[in-house]
Amino acid sequence: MHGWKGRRLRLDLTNRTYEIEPLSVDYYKKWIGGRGFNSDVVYHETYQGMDPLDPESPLCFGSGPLAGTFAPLSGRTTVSCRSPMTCSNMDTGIHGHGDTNMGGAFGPFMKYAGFDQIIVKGKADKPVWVFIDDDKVSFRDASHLWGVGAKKATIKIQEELGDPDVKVSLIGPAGENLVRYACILNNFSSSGGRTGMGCVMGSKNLKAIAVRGTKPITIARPDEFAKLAWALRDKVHNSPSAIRRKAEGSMDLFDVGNAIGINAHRNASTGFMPGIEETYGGLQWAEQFLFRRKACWSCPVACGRYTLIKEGKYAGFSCGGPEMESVCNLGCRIDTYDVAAVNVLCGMVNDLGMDSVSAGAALSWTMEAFEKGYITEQDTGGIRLEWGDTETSMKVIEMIARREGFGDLLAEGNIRVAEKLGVGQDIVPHCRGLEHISVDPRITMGFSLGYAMSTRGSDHLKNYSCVEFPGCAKSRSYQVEEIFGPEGAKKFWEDFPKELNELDTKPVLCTWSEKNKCVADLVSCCCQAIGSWGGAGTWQEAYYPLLAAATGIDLTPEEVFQSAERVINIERAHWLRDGSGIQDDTHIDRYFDEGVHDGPFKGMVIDREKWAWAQQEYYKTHGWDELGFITEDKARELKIEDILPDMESGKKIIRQWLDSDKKAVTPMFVPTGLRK
Amino acid sequence: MTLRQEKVIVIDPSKCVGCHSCEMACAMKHFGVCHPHYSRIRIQEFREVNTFVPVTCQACEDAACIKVCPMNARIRLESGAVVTDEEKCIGCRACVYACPFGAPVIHPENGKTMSCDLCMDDELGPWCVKACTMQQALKFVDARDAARAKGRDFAAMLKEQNEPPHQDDADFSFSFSVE
Amino acid sequence: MKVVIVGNGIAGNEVASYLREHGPQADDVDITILSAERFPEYDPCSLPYFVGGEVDRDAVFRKDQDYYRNSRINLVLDNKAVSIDPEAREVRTEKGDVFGYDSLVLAHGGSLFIPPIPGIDLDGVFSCKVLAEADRLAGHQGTRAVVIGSGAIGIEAAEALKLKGYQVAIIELLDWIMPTLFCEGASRFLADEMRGYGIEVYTSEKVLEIQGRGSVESVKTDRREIPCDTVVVATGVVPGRPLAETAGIACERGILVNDRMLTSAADIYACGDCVQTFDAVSGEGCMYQLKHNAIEQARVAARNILGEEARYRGAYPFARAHYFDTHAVTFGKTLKGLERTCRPDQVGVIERDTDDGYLRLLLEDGKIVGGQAIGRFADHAGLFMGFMWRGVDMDDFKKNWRKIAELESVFPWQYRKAGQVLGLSALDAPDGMEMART
Repeated sequence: MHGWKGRRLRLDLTNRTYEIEPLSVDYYKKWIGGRGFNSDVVYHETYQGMDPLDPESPLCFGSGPLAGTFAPLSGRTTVSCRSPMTCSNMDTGIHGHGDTNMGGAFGPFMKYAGFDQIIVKGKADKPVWVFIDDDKVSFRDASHLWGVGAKKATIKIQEELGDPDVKVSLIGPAGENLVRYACILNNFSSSGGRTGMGCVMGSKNLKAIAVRGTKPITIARPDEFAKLAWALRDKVHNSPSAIRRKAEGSMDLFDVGNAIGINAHRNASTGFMPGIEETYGGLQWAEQFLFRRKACWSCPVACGRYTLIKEGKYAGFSCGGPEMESVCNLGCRIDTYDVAAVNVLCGMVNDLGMDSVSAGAALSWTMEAFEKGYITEQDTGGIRLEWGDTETSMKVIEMIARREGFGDLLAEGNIRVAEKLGVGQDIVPHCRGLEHISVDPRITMGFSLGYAMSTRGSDHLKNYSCVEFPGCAKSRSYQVEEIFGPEGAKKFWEDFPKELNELDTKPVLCTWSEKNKCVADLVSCCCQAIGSWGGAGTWQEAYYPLLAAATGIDLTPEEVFQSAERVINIERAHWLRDGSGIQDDTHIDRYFDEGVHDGPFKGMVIDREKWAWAQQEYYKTHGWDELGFITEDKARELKIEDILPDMESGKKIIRQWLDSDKKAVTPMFVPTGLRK
Repeated sequence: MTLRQEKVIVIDPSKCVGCHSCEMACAMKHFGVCHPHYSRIRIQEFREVNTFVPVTCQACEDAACIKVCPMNARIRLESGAVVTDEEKCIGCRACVYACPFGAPVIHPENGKTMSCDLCMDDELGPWCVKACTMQQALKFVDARDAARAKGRDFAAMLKEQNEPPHQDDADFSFSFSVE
Repeated sequence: MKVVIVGNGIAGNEVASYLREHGPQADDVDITILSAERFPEYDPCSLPYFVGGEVDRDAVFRKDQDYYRNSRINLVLDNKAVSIDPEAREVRTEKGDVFGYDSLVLAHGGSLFIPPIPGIDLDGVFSCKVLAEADRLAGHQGTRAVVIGSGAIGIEAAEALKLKGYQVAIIELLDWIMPTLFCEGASRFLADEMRGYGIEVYTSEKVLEIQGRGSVESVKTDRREIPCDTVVVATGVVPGRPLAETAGIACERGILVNDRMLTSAADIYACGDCVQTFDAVSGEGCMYQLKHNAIEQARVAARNILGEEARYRGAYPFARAHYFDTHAVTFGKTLKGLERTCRPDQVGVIERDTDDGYLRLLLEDGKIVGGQAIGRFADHAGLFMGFMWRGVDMDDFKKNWRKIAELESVFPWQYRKAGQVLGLSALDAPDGMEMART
């Protein structure tokens, strides 16, 4: 087998055994790669109502056919499980599919060891870490690593093995303490943050997985593959946006975002921060803090940063990162201009092993709740968080990771904090219990729809519809044509650039982007290449020929697209099985009622009527029914008929809830007519 | 020390980002597979301090590997590159031990050694260098230019540091540069 | 200019080819090589691998006849030089030929030390130092072999015979095998490895007699009698002094030379296994009869012949021990060698022993002067040789290795790598994370 390795590894932590399972070509054709295998396993090996932290819940690490090859930007790994963080708005006890995608080099090394996927089940009786040395797997005592930060623990493991080239995927103290939004890190600071996969890993008493692999990935048609990879690399080398990304890192998006006012400023109530040029500007940032760039496996761009604070209070502090999302959520979101402190916060969050978005959201929610008078020091055990208070923020971050005092509550995620305290539900900016990233859903409608429809919760990296941004659309007009057809494109350009705030074209755009992003995940490539800077063109130009040359299996582009659709559907089915459908595909009331506070789009809200239309339109583009459920036809077309009984039982749950007068956890807009 | 007239690969570790693209390119070029062990250029990772050093054969003028090979299997090509003649090599690794960089690496399939052949006369030039187009940590330059570009001539500098000192060269001690 | 080179080995040929390539008026240099043997240049290091069948006979040759013709080098074979007249500037050979010279290079190496053991001249007794002997050994049909002496050649010969299907035993007079190359610990490990491959190793044993009528039947030591049909003598090489002594050239253990490879006689240079030079690190007199030293010495001699002011940096020991899947390397001094010249308080040892390798570094006054490595540590031996040349103080190193490659500086990365190899922990000092939290 070429490109793929033909096997996956199943670890059973309860009995400390492992099993190597061969996979058939048909299986690969059906699911293509990492996210596909993961979604299949996570759906089929869990059940309705299962506790995500149940020992039998399968934690999957998957990588695709291009991971670890010469194809550029191919170092990604998808981690999936039932998510402890995300939940339905009906009841925070209802969970669904969760996944996160991380860079670094773990996926490639999994493949060098001979596995396309690693599935972890069971629960060790005491902390362990697992060493995978090609086909040999050993379970080792991790008591000395428990409570140790990510960086130190990685060094300890590498030193214990005497091999600095071993790749370690691990959790920080936050994961051990079951912080619901704990992340998994590899290569010191490449993290898979969202949906709390680190929490699942911690619940299994698994500190780390270390991999050493010595087997090469063979390529079916090496000459052709090399030629294609060079062509794609040349494209990346010459892409102006890639060159900018190299210089500024993903911080190049900060200025852009701030200019149109979408950065989640002040608990995402507004998106505009005045006077950031001297502090948050991309080049400025690099000049102040960048020690040296770092890259994921086989990526020529290297948007990764390594920060060194040279002067001031935090002089000498160094850490991997931060990435723009982290900066935005731990800086802009809590309204601080102390950028050195933001770096420290980002470094801490990484080392402690938490999702920087949700951690930032926890801080900013507390700040706004204080401001609004929802909570007082009595609720927080004497801690008071004011806007921009980075020092207390650091303390609180540490408390969250250790689950001490008020941190214990914040570790549950904003939606549960508000639910438990009984206040502030209206200021939790979330979909499916996951706080949204730093793009304001009132302004960019494609992202907005994406958040709501995403199976990950409020995150852009499932429906990466960046073509809606004026800059992206202009530089990639060919994509506009591809998405909307000649007629639609004409209309798109007529509305341009107001297009950004319109929902009309977004259902189509979202579906298209969703599938494209899914293909990138399936082959294990960085979505940035075909996404925000788009240097590599569309995936069809970029990765489809590479996929064929690497594997030697000539799937048609339609077949690959269908696989992507299958993956999207099975992930959706996972939520639907638990009854989370249309009532969760929406935003909190705040975004429909309260206008943007500041910036060029001041006063903008989402239109309720249009939203209801867009929801239905989106379902139609997928061939789903009016409740957002997968139809029998669709299931048969995608050869996932086995989900149909689950759809029925899921429908029962949602009907029951709609017919009851049970309130939603947070006030969210549910299209009229659904409830009595 | 005089340098040859040929072109050489010059390394600037301060620009290396540890993406391993060069390794992938090398493995692809010579074996048609992907794995760092199949590459002749290797990145030494010090990821905890985010420092990466690409190590490849510098084709030293007075190459230790040529002198210590019992089989005379380390040979210099027309291009200036020093490679292992696999017909003769018995895999004793003397060249690996003698090299101040540890540049010759073990052939993963036959246990002999291998080192950079500058991709012979491939029209793309050395693949590793091309793969580093964006970061410029690897450059393929005229050996004389490389020697002239002081401070950047990593090859010559390290080579000199690692050679037995001349007897009349009293001040050869290497002090710790950074506190 | 007329240059006569005595000896057609590594050093002699290096002088000849250097003169031919670099001579300013190359054609004016008239080069003659006098050889006692019948072959163009071959590499003695290769012989065991030819005997063992790992490579063809062709592979042992470094040059062929055409080379000499094309390079206009007058190669005189099978005609041993026997005396020198420095006054008349003449060399006389055993066949009575006389060669006049402007510069003379003595590069005839050494000859095998033949221990005075009864039966040493029996049929079935071989050496493995020259090609003629190796040819005989390769063509010999036997089943049981005893190798006397466990230097590099002895070990390689043992491997070669094992590969040919012989049952092999090695006998070493001293306490451990490869006594001049390795310390006791590493050596014992290597001996165990050899035993693992089915080779019998006997140390601290003296061969009393090689027994047999006409041909070898057994070897008798002070402890046992080993039946065998083949004996390989590998008891070391003695530098060839007699020729030099005919010219009254100063000799100690070998021919004495200065740092320009010049002997006590005018215009007579010497290089290779026959000379006694000085150690590159300590400067003390030494005889490391190793190929890389021969090549370097030859180049210095050639450059001086051409009128350059080239000076020799000194010789250094560096050898690898490789048989089957065992890989080991040694450089510089051994502990025993060190203890001969130093006070006990000057000597230091750094040692690492893991599942997949062994490393020992020997320190004199805190600086590396030698080391041995087996397995995975061997690949990093070059790092520590670099430390040896630079005279890195290992106490300073241990304190500072972590800082050295710290953020602002990349150079020299070898320090950080060496720290990793030595198993030093990067966590000994507080890092950025801790600073922030306190």
